[in-house]
Amino acid sequence: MMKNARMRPVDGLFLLWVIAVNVLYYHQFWTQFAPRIRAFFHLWHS
Amino acid sequence: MAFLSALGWLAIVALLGIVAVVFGARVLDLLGLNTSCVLERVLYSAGISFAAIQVAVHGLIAAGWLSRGTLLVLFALMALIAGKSWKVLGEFAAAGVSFCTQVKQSRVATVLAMLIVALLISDAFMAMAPLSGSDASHYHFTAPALWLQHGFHPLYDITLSFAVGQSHMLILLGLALGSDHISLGLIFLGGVLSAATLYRLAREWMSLEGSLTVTLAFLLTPMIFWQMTVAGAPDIWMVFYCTLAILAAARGISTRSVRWALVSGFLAGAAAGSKYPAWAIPVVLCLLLLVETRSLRFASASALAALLGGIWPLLRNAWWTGDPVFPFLSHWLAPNNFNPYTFASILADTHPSANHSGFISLIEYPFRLVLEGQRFGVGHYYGPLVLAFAPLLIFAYRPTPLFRISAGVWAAVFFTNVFSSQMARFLLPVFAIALVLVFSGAETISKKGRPLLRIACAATILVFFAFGAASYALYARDFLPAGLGIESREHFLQRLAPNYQEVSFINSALQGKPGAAMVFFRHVYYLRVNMMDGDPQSSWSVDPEKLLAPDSMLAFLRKSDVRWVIRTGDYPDALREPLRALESSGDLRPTASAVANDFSGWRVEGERVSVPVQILEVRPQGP
Repeated sequence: MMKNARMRPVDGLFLLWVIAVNVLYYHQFWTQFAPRIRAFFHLWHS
Repeated sequence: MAFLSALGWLAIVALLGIVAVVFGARVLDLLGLNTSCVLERVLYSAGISFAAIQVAVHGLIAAGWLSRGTLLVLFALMALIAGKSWKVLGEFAAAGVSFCTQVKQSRVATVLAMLIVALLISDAFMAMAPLSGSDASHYHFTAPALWLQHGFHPLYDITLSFAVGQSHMLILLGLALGSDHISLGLIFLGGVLSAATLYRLAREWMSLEGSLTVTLAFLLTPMIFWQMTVAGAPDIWMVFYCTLAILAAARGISTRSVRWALVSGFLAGAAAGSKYPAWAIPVVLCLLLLVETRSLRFASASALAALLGGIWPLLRNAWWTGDPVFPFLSHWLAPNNFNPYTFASILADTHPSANHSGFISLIEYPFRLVLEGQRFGVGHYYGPLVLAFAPLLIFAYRPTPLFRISAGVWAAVFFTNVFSSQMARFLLPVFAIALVLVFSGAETISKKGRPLLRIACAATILVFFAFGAASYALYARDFLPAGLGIESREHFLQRLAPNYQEVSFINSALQGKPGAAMVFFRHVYYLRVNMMDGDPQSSWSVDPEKLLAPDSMLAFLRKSDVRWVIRTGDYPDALREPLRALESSGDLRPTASAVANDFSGWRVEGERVSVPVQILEVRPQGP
């Protein structure tokens, strides 16, 4: 399969798109739930 | 003991499911409909039966005949009528063995299948935790419970009770059989059937491993595990009905069978009968059937069956209020009973705010519903996969009726959502379809030797699995101990059910006392005294414009048989002045007080505050 593997500029664009969606998505979750996530994993106790 | 009870409730739910499947298989036989796939046959059987049960339960409660006895007779009749169709269970078991053999041949499929089974077992016990969901305690369970207790009548003080639809009849079924745990179990069963239908749809276009991957992604999506376990909302049944309706419609088109169009319409109607916005599903399905078959007969058969499956809540509302979609058309259809304050509050809860209107906001919505979900009907609970893989939709295209129907229904529901409510939670019925479409695009492109795309897709899925598992663990930690019976029911409710501490205090203080209690909080399911919701944001009975003067308020309380006013924190803004004036004049007299510990804002965020609770007695009318 790798012999026939092709990379196109549009693939790079898709990669950037996926990274952007993931970063923005998980960032919003972290913003909303950070205190609970911290408490859950007992990493930081105030 | 509590663990054994949970097993018992789950066994009852399984038994109800089995009777539904064998009866539905009989109906399919009578209609002369068959499929080579046993799983699909079982799903159609369950879908037809449960949609019919919903209609029957709605009829029974309206007639005043709903009881455990009538339901036992109904299910006994279904089991008897099934006759030789009981053999479908044996065929299903044989198909299960064959599926396991197939799965064992692939290590990836084995791991995925084991994870799915483990997740479903955990979901089952999580669903057995006592009811504690917010909307569930406000109306999903409260309205059916009140109808069961006091008869079928409009509950104007719980305005959302008019949104109680066909799938709520399964909640009512569980309550009538004797336990809200059966209702919760039936909601869980809706989730299992949805996942199985999604898998079946995925298998039309994807490999075994790909289909199991998308099924696991579905089950790990926060919106899904929340809805099928602890939310106490029956909306997950819409996913099942809608996805199955699409499969049936495609069968109807490819076999040119009007009977499949009937089944498809009936299932789409069952989905539509669950929530007002879901009426887009049967409407679009009928149009697509018309376009695909060029036959008015097909489309009309589907439309009539849809009405049969879902029109009952609209008829009920029209009968009670004059407005089938109460309260949304009551301004025109029932102006004499219009409450502008409550109407504005409900509109604000189900529509985008003014600063999200306009052309740009329409373009932004598909992105913001996922990336800013908290402001758009908890759209972030769907996860990022549909948005991340959306560009791959072009690779999902298949020249088949099933693809065209799936894409058409998904697009129609999505765009009606964009142009109306912009509430992502109303997209739930088509989430399974959206997920399968984008995953099939991802699998297609992954097989085309484009390594960068394959790596991007695989990494996104793996990160989501890790995120989903962590979110699930966070949720399970709170609910699973109660579901397994490790934590006592009372301790769990005190800890996690909103307004429960206030409710406990009111129940003990007013036990056996006459008159109704007016409360200003929304979670009233566990109240064991006659109550009236006094919050004008949720109660159509309370129009602040008419209650500005203290005398008007006092007259209203007496007319409504309200003997007790429960002050939790402060009164609602719109009623503060007249109620405080009644306190000052001695017409409202404090009789008991306590301090409750309650949630502030969304329960999932875990913030708690102390809430002073005061019970005030309304001065009885003099001779």
